[in-house]
Amino acid sequence: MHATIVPLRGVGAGVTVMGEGPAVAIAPPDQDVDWHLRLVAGDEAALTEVYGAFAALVTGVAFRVLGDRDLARDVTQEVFVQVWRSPLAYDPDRGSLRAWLALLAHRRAVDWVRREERRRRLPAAAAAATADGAEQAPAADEIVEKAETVDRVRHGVRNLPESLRVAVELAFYRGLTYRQIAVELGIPEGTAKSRMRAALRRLARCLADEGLGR
Amino acid sequence: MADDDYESMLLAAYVQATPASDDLPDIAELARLLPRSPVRPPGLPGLPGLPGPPPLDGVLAAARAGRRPIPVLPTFATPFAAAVGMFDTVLTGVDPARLDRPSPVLDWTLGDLVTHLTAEYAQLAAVLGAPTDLPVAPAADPESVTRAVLDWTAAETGPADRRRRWWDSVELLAAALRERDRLGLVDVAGRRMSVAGHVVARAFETWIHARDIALGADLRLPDPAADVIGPMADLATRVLDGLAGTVPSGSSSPAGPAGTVALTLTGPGGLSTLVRVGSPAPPGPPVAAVSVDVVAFCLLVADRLPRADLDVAVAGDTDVAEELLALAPMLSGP
Repeated sequence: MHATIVPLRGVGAGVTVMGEGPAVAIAPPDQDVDWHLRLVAGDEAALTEVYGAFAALVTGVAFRVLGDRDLARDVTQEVFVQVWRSPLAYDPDRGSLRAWLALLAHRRAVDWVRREERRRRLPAAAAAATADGAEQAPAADEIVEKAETVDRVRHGVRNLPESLRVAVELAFYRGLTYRQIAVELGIPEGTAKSRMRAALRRLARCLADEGLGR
Repeated sequence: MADDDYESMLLAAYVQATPASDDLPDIAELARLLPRSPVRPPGLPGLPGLPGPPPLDGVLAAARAGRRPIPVLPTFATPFAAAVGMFDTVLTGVDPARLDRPSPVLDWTLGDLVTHLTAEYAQLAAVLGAPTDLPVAPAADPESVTRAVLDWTAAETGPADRRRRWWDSVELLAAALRERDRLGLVDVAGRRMSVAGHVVARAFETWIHARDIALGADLRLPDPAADVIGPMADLATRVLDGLAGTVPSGSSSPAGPAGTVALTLTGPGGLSTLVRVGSPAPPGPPVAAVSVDVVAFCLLVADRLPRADLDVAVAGDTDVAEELLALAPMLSGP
């Protein structure tokens, strides 16, 4: 009769940020946990709040992939419909809601590009009948370029001195503010800021060396 | 695709967008790119030219088409509304084939739990005066009423059919609750409680069975929010206290340990209360103290968490405290 139960709350709730140095375990943001709970419970107000917080981000990610405003908005709608319909797909213990939404937007946008690429390969007659707007879709090499950028940034972050790497990871990969980074690392806020500046300078040089500089 | 792709792209975009001098933008500029503010401004500052998102109204309309809203319910039924939402979310996420798996309840499958809740909601709705075709005698115990409905719906045991029946009973009960005073006393399955009490009991079992199905289908269901688990725990403690002097002790003979326990349920939705244990009902101040997480306590009450696995702090008369913990799972039914 008894099910084997492992209480979900507060057990192994931390996540580990990327990098090769010592792991930094961080609990999921309370706001993400609250939103997730309310979405699971069918609280439409939670969807409205999540939309207010992240719709611009999702649209921006989709636009960067698609290069088309209307398509980016369509993807945005799809993402939030999915959030509402299947909130269990998100697990706060595995990352921030922001990152998950951005990932969803990116995936859906890339899926759209791939569908469009397949459509372009149709016989000329069929393609001609449906080619309106196709010029706006990014070419596959743009997707490849983005993937290369991602790899180079990861490489650059991994090669930062540990104190700088952790600061960047906490800020960009876990979404902490400088004040929170300072608390997390037990350092003054000014030190957190200076580490971030130093890290970003190094990354800028790293990307420039790779031909991705400003 | 790795989970940090977006963050890496954002970081690259930020680095590439910043001036060439050593003076990177002030920290506030970076902070605005980061996600921590509860409400982000439209567009991403520092990354100009991005389009604004689509209007909220259209997105909400599309969302509602993909997942129906919970029927309007009175405030006292808030925990029930949330539990229904959780159950609906689980049914959306579950692979229908998994509903044929056995459940922790009797000989029922996970799919039978859907019908069980259908029967329970319809029974309460019928007691409240709502018309239903289902065979839900007001005095029938939970197992009997469920078996009657399982027999009655034997021809429609597909996941979609079960879910439709369940949702129909949600709407039926919601309509009935909108017409009733929360404090009115009604008898359901031989138990007299206020309408609000019965609704919280339905919420409790809905959450537990949502959890049963989620576990059986390898889905991870979060614990209920504080304003949902709190009323469930409150009901459980009051029912437990009401058992004192009326039933044999849970772990021993009727002459077993007796006394009042100061029970502290910790965590969001937690509470502190006094619960009498034993027969006859003992008067006087507490002789023992028990402190336990509110979710764990509710799982103990639902017979989903064995006492041996319970992380609990006990002080004072440990026999009386253990008696309370042994008695708690006796509240569980199908």
